[in-house]
Amino acid sequence: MLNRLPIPAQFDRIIVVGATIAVLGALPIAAVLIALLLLDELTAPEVVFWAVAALIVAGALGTVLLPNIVHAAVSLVATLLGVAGIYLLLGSEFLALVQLLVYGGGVTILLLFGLMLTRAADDPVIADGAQKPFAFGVAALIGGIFVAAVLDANWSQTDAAAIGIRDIGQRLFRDYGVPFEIASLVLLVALIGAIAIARSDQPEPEAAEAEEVTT
Amino acid sequence: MNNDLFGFEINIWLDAAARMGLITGVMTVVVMGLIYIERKIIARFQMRLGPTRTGPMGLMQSLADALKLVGKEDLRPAGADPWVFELAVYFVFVPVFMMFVAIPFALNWEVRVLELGLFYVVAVSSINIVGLVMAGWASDNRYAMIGGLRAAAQAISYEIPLVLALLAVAMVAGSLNLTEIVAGQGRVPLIVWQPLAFAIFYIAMLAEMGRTPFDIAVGESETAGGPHIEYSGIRWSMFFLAEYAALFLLCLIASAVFLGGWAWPLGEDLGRGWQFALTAIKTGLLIFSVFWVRVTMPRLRIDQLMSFSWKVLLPLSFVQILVNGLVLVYDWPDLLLLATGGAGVVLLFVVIDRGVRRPRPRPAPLAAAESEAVA
Repeated sequence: MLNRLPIPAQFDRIIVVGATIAVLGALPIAAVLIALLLLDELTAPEVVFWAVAALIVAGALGTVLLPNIVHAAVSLVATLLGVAGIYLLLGSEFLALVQLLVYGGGVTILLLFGLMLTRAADDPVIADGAQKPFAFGVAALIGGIFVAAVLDANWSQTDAAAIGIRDIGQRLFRDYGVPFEIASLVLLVALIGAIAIARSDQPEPEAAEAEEVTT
Repeated sequence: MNNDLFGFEINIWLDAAARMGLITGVMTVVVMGLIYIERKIIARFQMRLGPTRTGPMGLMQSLADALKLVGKEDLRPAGADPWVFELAVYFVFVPVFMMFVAIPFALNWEVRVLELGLFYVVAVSSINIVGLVMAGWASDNRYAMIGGLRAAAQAISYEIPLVLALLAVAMVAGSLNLTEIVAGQGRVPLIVWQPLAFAIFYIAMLAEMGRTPFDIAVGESETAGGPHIEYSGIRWSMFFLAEYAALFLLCLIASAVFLGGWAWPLGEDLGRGWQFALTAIKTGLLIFSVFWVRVTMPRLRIDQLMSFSWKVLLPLSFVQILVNGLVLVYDWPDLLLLATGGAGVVLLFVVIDRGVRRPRPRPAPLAAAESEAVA
């Protein structure tokens, strides 16, 4: 079907069609936002908020719905970066940068790394296993908790005070030093456990060969 | 709502667009200049002349190359994943340009003053490696894939010493705001108090940019160009634009954080011209040293690269942070910082020297065959 579209041959059909659909989806949102901005109904930060929120929702939907697992991972990156944008709009720069560093950089790379060292490198199709109903249950549970928290929250307090990095440091390392240490200990245990599992008890192949040669 | 740009009151959206346009334009010109300078310097090291034909002294060579690359056909392999292949470029390219926002060129002369500027630079620069992994996977090419995975492993490993070295400096400077760090250095730049942190930052910086001797991800003899192998035309040139922009920006950050940026040694009271000149001289020296390292050092193997980061740089940076904490909390004399940092640098050189001189173990099958032949 794509080959019959009247597009010049040097353009890529999939990209052109996909980009057209994406633009058609984003255009009404952008038009409404710009109209409201010009009518002074919205302030600039609010426009940015709605744009970022649209990005987060689109990315999350893509993560769940895309059939290709690497596409889903890239879509997840959009969501994670969008969340960093929301933190920035809330005035908590530190949290936004941590989100960028930990989720945008580290976790995403590890995720892609994991995908590429497994079967996904050649056959990136999401295969639903027997866990699907359990995954649905867990998702419904967490979603329910979030919705309950949102409905229960007191939204009357409109502006939260921005907390400086010095306060965060003081709180984290002076007032709550012991919980911080316990959290690091948990991470350390996980790290050592991963190394212990990765290094199996069997000697490495070269070492085994060398032993055979000597005996 | 209006913002102030070069003394003009303009709309906040126009302001953002103007700043982004400025960044992109300046960086493109700077990168073309850097490529020309690198070719000239490397040519001198190898007793050649480098580009001479295009324009006076070959000055137009980079421009000609850029025009050629823009005009080239933008190919994509038939088996490649179209979306990830096309998007990967932007994941490499945009974060590097975002780093530009926080960098101080002179007093009150930066795109934005960020309270967490140093942290911002580190956080933003960590994203572009996602692009290299995406490029490697989407190219439908084994070499590209291996190159992408190597780039990711290398970047994750060297990011930790890089961040810890900057953390050590931030502890001594007492701020994450790049402008405050520059202004607060006074008469003695931070490289004097933290020589070990500078050495670790410099090495990790080379690795983060994927430059020689840490360019295993794109090593021609091993992975035939790594993640960029299937890219051509303007997309390929965008990868290189990002690489040279990262070189320029990281050297600027190093000169601001360790060498006193625009303030040292002339102080803050001088005019903007002197401040620009100081920044340019310090950054230029660092960039020259990066080119120098490139023509001097052979490439490391991947196991050497990994063990150097995890077994040498990481423990040394932890020790430096521990010493800094003790000195700052207990008000021990500042000279202790200098002494421990200096000792750390000496130790680093000793370790590197031992590693270089260690006899290479023969591969087991070869050694066995030789011993049989002798017997």
